[in-house]
Amino acid sequence: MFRLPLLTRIAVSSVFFGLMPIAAFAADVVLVGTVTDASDGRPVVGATITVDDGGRQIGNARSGSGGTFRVTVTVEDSGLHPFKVITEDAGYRSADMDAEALNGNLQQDAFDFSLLPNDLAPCLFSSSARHPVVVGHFFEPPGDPISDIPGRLSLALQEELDLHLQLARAPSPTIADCDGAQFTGVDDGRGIARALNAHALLYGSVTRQQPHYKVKARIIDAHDSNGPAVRTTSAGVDLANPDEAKMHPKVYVAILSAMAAGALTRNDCAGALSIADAASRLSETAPDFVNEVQQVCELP
Amino acid sequence: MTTGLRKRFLPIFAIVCVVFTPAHAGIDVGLDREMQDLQELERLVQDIESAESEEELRPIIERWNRLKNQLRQRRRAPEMPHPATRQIQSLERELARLGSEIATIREEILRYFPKANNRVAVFTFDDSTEAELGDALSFIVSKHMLFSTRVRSFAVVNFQEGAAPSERGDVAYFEKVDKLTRDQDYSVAVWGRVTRARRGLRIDTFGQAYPNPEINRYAVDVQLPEAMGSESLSAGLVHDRFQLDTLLVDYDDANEFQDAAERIRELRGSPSIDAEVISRLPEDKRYYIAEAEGDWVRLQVRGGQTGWTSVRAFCNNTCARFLVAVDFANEVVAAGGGVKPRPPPEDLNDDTRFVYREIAALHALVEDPGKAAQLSNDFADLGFRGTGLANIHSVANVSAALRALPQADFATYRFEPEFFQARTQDFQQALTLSPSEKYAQKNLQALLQYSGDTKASQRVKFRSHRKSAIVVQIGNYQQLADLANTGATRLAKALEHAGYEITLLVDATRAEILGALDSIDTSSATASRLLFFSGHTTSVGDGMYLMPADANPDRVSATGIGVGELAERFRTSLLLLDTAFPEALVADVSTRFGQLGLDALVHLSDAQRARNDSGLFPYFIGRGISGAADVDNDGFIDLKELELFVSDEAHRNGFQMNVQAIARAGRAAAIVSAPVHNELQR
Repeated sequence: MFRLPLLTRIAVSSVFFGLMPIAAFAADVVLVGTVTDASDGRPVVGATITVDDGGRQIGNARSGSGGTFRVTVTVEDSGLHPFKVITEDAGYRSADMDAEALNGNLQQDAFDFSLLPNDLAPCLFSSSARHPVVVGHFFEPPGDPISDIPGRLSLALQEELDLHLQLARAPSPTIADCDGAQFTGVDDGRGIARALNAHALLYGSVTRQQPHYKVKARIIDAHDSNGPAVRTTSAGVDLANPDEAKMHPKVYVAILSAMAAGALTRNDCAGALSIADAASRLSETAPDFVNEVQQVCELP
Repeated sequence: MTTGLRKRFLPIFAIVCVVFTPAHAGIDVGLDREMQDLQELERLVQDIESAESEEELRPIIERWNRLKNQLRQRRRAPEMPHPATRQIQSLERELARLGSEIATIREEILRYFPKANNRVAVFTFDDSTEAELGDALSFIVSKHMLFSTRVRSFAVVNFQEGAAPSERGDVAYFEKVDKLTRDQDYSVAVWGRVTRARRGLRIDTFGQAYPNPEINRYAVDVQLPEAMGSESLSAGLVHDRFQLDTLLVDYDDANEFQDAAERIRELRGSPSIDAEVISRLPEDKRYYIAEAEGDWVRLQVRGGQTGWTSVRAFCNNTCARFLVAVDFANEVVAAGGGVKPRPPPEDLNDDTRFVYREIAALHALVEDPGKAAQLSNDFADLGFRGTGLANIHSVANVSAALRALPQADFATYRFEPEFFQARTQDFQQALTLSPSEKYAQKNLQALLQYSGDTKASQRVKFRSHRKSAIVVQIGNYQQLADLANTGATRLAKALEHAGYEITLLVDATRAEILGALDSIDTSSATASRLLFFSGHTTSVGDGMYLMPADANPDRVSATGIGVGELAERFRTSLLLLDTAFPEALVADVSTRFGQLGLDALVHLSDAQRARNDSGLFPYFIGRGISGAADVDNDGFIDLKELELFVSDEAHRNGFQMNVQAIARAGRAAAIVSAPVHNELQR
């Protein structure tokens, strides 16, 4: 049998193992994207974009007019290289996105950031919040101010939604009030809802209707599965006793619909189905979105 | 001869049992302590499993003996199957005994009145108002149910105090109720809440019935003939969690409830309001009804006092109105015990009427499916509320048709196509009304399977699954070589996006991984439970082990995690394994996985090669599960598709990756995930 002398064998194996690092050439990848204000959709000019590779900065840029940016970074051209794209600007909460290059090819098409203005940052839901709903600004009744309307409405919604969801064995929603969240003229506030990680956003106005209040509310579905905002009017809402206050069933159904849509975007059919059940309990006939949930979840 | 003897002795034995097992019994205990016991038991089980030495085991055994004695004192303690007659010699034996004892305790001792046929739990009402009515209300409910039950063998446990979320574990009231009821296997639970109302208080009363098809309790299974695959169709109570009543009361009435509860607690010398009070009903003591006279009963406390009391005599006006809801709760219990239920009065909550319709139809289904079909015939007029009835209706029709068959034809019988179609439509209609109705789902799945439409059948089954994933990546080892593996965080994100509930563990110890596995609900056979593990693995004897950060290579079986155990104990449905192994062992390792009884996708990289492919396996899986692996575009990704996708992607990008799918023998490849719906995906 043919045998290599010992020294040659060592040489062969060291060439073999040595090849990898030598073969790792560098490649340039170009990252493009936009930066916009989540609350009104307008471009953010002059935001700082940093590309971070495990704590090492490998590229940076600033967003130009129109909020667009373009940054070139150098990565190894073999294997998988994950890195992060971070966007910062005074006045906004910073945001980041994951990216990776596989054999020197960037795997993402574009990096579009929607930044949350600082005054809304305290309202941001953590990514683990279940079915987050945000109650935004409500105009007070003229000449008859009542304190903390979003807080009162949150309480009213929580009580009733909890009950129906619990009876349907669905998890309770996380409802928070955020007076800063309001209609800005762009996309009905959908951008705010998304930037806050919320499935639904409510805002509107309250007027006096003796002995209680009339609440006009718009319910925005962050995932836009229900078309335009749902407009509701609830009469006789006892805001003085929020845990007793009842809204129009349409309000609850619209919120549940947005929650179900949120569950579907996360491919959570089981969650969406149990929310659909809770909504069915609230109205004698199944609401429209129940059909949609069925179709998406491909039940016959 | 022997059989003759047995026949004659049996009735005598049965009578003896009736005499010695009180037919109607109750007890009042603390909810908080009950939860603590349950949690302590769960902790003990965990601690036993992670104990590695004598020193660690001794305090556990002491804790266990303390807890056991406490439990025994509080409950009627049946003899243990193996009494500790002499000193136990080795800790090994003690450990084994402990395991089986805990199982016994959970089965028998932790349950009050294990022999009663109808066991009901009544929970203190969740009352955050200053009226503090929670205990009084549940006390009245439990006593009224006990004194006026229509079933023969009945026991009620009244859990007092502790409605607010406890500090430990922070379990919400609804969940507390559900957890304890399930663990102690009650057939019905009653609970409620008190909130402030406009001019007083609002009392909501809820009920939940726990179906068990094995004893036809709120659920009935109908076996299909062999020729149709021997599957069974199920009908059961769909509105099993329901609101009984909402009562608005003045603050003054609140005192009425407190007074009534106080009076009912008093035991009197004779059945009359004017009779002398001779003692009070103690807490934590079991009692039973010794005799009854009109609205009065004589309670006998075990090993203690006896005396007369009544609910009706002391619970008047508003309190009496409250009892109407409780009466219906007793009808639900009656139906569960095989007694024909009576309809609720008109002014109770709507829920009660639909619950009644369902339990009445289910009661009929056991003996007379034709009648059950009749009772459930108008389901279509009821909208969403008809969901349960639609399913019962269809199962009743099937059952009636099968019963009409001559015995000899049963095994070979097949539905006529028209009949089959009509039944399928019924189930579909039930699902249109309430898409997560589990009985109709299961039935439709069974019928579609029978008709050969396995894809549609899988779809019904899979879409309503709960999906949970544990993602483990171990790079830093305490006693083994470190690894440069990456990618777990990205995979966790991809899985989360695909609908999985995620636990991400980096450089985790054995206890941490076992803890995460333990916390995953294993009750559903259809749920998807996925484990990704990136790290060292090893084989000892016939077993394969995953090596956590604190694994000791000299004590693999005690410090590693057995792959066989994953399937058996944690019911892991899919293992994704990213590990290095000497090339020579790869074939052997694959064979072993094949015998372990779980589905797996394994990436075995050659331990001796430079790891240029770090992070690739989780990365490709993540992309695949997000939808890219759905090669045939049918909305599902099966194990084979995922394997192909990962291998192809690796190959296309110039990597040599040894990826193998291992599916359990005789089984279709497992569905891994369904991609996110595109239209909803921005």
